[in-house]
Amino acid sequence: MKSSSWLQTGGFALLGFAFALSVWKVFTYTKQENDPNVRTLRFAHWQLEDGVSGALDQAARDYEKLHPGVRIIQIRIPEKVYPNWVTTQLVGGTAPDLIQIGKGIDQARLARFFDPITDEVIKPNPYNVGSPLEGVPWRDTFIDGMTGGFDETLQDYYGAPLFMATVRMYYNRSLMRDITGSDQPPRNFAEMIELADKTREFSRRENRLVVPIAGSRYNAPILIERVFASMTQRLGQDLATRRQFQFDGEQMLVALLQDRWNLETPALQSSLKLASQLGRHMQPGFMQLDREDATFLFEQGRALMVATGSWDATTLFNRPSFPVGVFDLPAPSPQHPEYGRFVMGRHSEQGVRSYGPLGIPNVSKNRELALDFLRFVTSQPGNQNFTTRSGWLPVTLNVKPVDSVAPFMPVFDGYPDGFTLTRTTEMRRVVETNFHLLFGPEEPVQRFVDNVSGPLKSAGRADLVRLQRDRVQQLTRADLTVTANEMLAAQNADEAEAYLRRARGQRERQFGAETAHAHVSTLLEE
Amino acid sequence: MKWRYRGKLGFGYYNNRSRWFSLGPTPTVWIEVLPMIPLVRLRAFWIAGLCVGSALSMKAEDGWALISSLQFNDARGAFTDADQSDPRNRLGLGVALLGSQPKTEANLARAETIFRELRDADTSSDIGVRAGFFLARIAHLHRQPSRWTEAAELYRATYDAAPTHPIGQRALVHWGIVTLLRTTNAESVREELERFKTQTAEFTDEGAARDAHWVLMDFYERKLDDKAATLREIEAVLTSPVPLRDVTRFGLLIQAAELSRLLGNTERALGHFRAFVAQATRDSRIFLVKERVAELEASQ
Repeated sequence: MKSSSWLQTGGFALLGFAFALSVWKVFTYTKQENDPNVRTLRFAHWQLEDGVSGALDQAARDYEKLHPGVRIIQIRIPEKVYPNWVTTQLVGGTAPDLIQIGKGIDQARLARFFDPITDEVIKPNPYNVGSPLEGVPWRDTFIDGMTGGFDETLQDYYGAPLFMATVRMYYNRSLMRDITGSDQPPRNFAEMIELADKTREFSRRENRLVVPIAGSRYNAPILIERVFASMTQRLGQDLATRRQFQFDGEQMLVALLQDRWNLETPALQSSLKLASQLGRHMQPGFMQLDREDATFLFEQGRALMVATGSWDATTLFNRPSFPVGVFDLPAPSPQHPEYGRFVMGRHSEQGVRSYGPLGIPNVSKNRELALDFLRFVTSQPGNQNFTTRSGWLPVTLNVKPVDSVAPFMPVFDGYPDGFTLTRTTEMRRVVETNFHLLFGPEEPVQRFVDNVSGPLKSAGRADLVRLQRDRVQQLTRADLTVTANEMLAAQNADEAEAYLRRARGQRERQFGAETAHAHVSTLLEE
Repeated sequence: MKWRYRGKLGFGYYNNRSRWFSLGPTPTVWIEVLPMIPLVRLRAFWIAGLCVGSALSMKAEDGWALISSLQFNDARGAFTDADQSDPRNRLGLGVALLGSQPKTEANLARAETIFRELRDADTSSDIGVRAGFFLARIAHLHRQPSRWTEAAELYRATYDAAPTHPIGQRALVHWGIVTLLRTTNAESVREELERFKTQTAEFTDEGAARDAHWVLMDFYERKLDDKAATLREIEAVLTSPVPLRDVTRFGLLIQAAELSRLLGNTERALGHFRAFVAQATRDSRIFLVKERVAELEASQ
């Protein structure tokens, strides 16, 4: 027989096998779906990082063992297509029983397609029986009080969060030993800069391509913004208008328009100097590179350090052939001879919130089961298992992280952050367009300031106008929802208190925004 | 597409352009035709159909529920279908029109007409006061740039029509904001603030009373930098019987403590700071506040 005939026969056989396999899959799927003795629960999320999917699968198997007749299916959707996927599922009425809330789900969709779980979060989690959290309302068993699942506009809880993250500096311990003779990380900013200089010298001496810090348009800002936010700590407190130890993006924009700070302000000059210094320790052209490029460089042993979040911990601990260590993102301390006067101290991570809560779409036919599974995975034993298996940070109180991620646990003793130049859309655009100037030769800071100062103020104004526009929408919407909740309270005596609670919360939030809107309007009219 | 039952129009649905498509004979037809049909089964079918119809028909309550969950376009359909002789449904339609997307001048004008009719029908009724309030909100926020003078007049008229109604009192608070904002001279600001304070002192609605203290606090601080008056108003907000959200309360506690410290009242400052430390265990400012507490205690 000719070889072409063999190929044809083989091709047909393969086609037949594929067809038979498809028929079998469809048949078994339909059979499973129609099995009256099995209830199937599906949940979808975009956390495709190493460790998460396996840990969630194991949680699902644990739950199935506890509840015979229940089958749990995990649906993993890549982050890039998640918004489109989730929109299609919600609008088409085919959404799974639990969906990670976030990308592609705004407040209007949350209100339209999801069931609030506010009534449930005040009840104790039955899976905490026997643990120190027994009898504690479910909401209060979360490290952040379940704020990650609360929607301020709608004044309701819509999901239980499973994920929390902080950012740190990863380093190659073997390479560190080669360069310094020890694998101990730097203890402060000055030591890190010294280490970076030693690394460059090592690279030249050994004729080996090694950069001190792996940078990319994703990783570099993590480090640079940390330095910025530290250097503007005192300035932020001085500029804060309300004596509340807080300086938000809007106050920053207002102060910029009032000429209370600019790029010549000493704290900003120092921030830019440090950013320029850090950028020179990254590989050339890093702002054109992606996250994967920086990770790849680090994994190849061609970069000593990389700044990223705890979400990369499992990947970065397991993939490289060398041992990896972690240390806190460095910023100058108040004792630093040159920069210390701008800094209050290490920033607090009290504000770190859980994110990406799993919510229950209103088309789910398994609301109670979905709620129960959520209680199971966020209970103290459930979250302990998830944390141990995934290597991610815990979201539930009294859960111990695995040793490797212990350095990622939020540090609570610290000071509020200052501000950065990339908090608002237009300012971010102006700064990022000119960022490369900071890392070039010949007076980079001055060149950056000369190019950015003018456009920065216009951009700040545009951002403030945008904030005002958003705020008008928030205020006008709140009028409508407050009225609706008050009317519903008048018509439903049984649920009046819940409606009035919502109306009160919405009204209070609206009122704070209303006075701020009035003052900013005057500023913009001037 | 949602199935609806619209009385004389029978069963059907609205298409994307809000056009009604009837999917069966109207009840009037059934009422005329059915008695002529001797079959009992058909009569039963008719009765069952009417029951389903009443269950499917939109109640005004459904419309408010849709608004509370930000589904303004659907709420508009629900209120359009509802009995238009009921002023609550007319108010609902006006409210839904304000939230409908895309925002158009036609919707705004139609909502304005509805609110004006409702207000003029009875200025002091619950619906009339709410309609008056929304007219002021249209001038203040829905139309940009804001029509400050018109908004102030409408807020004031709403309060004058129903000074004991919670919405009337709420309207006076907003009148305070737009009026004080346009006052620039420090002396005039102080006079206006005193007048506003007197007017709002007798408020019966706790929410409106709390908001009035908020306005006083805000303007004493921003326009006059009067620390003692600001502190007094912050403390009034903090002790209001209407519960504050944590995020607001924590900020105000720090502000009250700092103002007390600056006014030289260490005991009062410590009281507010300690209240913050006890309540705001998850706040990023707690370390800084604890430091302040230690400093103040050392200075005593």
